[in-house]
Amino acid sequence: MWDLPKLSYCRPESVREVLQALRRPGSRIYAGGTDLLVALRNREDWVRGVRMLVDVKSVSEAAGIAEAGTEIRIGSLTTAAQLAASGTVRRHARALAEAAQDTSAPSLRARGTVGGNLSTPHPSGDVTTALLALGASVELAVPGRSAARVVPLAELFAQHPHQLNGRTLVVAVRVPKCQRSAFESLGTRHVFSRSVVAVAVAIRDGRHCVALGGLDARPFVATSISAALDARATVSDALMTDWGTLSESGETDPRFGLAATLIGRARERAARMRSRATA
Amino acid sequence: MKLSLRVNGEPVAVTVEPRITLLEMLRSACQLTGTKDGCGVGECGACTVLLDDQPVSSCLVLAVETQGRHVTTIESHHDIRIERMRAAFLESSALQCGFCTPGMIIAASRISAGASAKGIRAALAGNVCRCTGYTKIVQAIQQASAGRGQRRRND
Repeated sequence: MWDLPKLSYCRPESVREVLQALRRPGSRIYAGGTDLLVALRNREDWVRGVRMLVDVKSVSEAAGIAEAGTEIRIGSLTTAAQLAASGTVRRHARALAEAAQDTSAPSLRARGTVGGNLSTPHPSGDVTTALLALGASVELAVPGRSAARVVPLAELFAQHPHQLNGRTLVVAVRVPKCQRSAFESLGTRHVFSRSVVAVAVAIRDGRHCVALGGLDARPFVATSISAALDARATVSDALMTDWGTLSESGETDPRFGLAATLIGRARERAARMRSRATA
Repeated sequence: MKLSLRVNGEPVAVTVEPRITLLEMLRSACQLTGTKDGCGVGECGACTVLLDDQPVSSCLVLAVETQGRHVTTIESHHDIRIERMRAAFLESSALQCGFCTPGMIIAASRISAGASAKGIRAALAGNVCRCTGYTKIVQAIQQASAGRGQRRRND
């Protein structure tokens, strides 16, 4: 295990100051540090060239959880512990609360943030998987503009997979309220291990949205699987619609059965949730 | 960078490079070696300290982030919950090699009184005991929690 490389550090207090700091070459956003500091220590590829940490934890625009009409707005600095403990999130975005509760261990949940989970290039990313299923959008800070750009997360991942690379500031995520959603995952240990497969299912007006983590470079919305579930296919049949693109070994891949089981469980739990009037 | 913070109630002024972690600062600049350097990547919990009353892995916190804040380590004699937990660990012999113990005690000190054995295990999920002495650790925490309740009843 190496020491951290030589770094400089700054702690701006507004979005504008963050954007200014990010103009410096070698700068990268720093929040919870639970992935970033480990990667810097291990000299991982995705942090090569990082020389300055821009600590965004004092940026008030990126803090807090608030209901806004049919959505909830979650500041990107919200920690996994805060997500899991939030009544608002539990009521209106159950899968997200479950994913946050499921991730890592307590002392790291106290530090790891939503923005960090979105900006770390790992295949699983439980919080990111839940946000995708729930149809969340991200508020991105844009240099020279006071208003943030709001982009659906699934679209951003599909069209600009490298945009959230620690040099684009996610100010907040907006999650449409959903009364039926659930998250399931399995890792190599009960806690504190990356999910081998993570599944989030949201059901709105009878339509499914399934997001999968652990099976590709980043979590993604499984469009054809979702559509097959809408058409009342069995979970295995639905999973087969997309499995060919995910695994070369077909159904013999042990993750196939695992994914099918987890999708089945998440869907069943989500479907059983009682509908509540949305705001 | 110059920092001033409180460590175990005492004001501390140090100069650190930004790349120095809170763990490194505690063990070298502050000479508080009770906090252990285990894995360095947040997996073992041996370096757990309280940052403003919240258990964190000090190997994944930069020292510069602690400007103006309060850090509590196993050396603290001002925190009644840590004191009680330390006494309970001793009484129950809830340690073998002792390397994980400082982190265990700090993390355990913030578990709410009356937690079930299952709840205690979940709260300690980030603290690894390589000697696998978990049974006594859980017992010690339950005992500390019961003691707390008793004291309250006698008040």
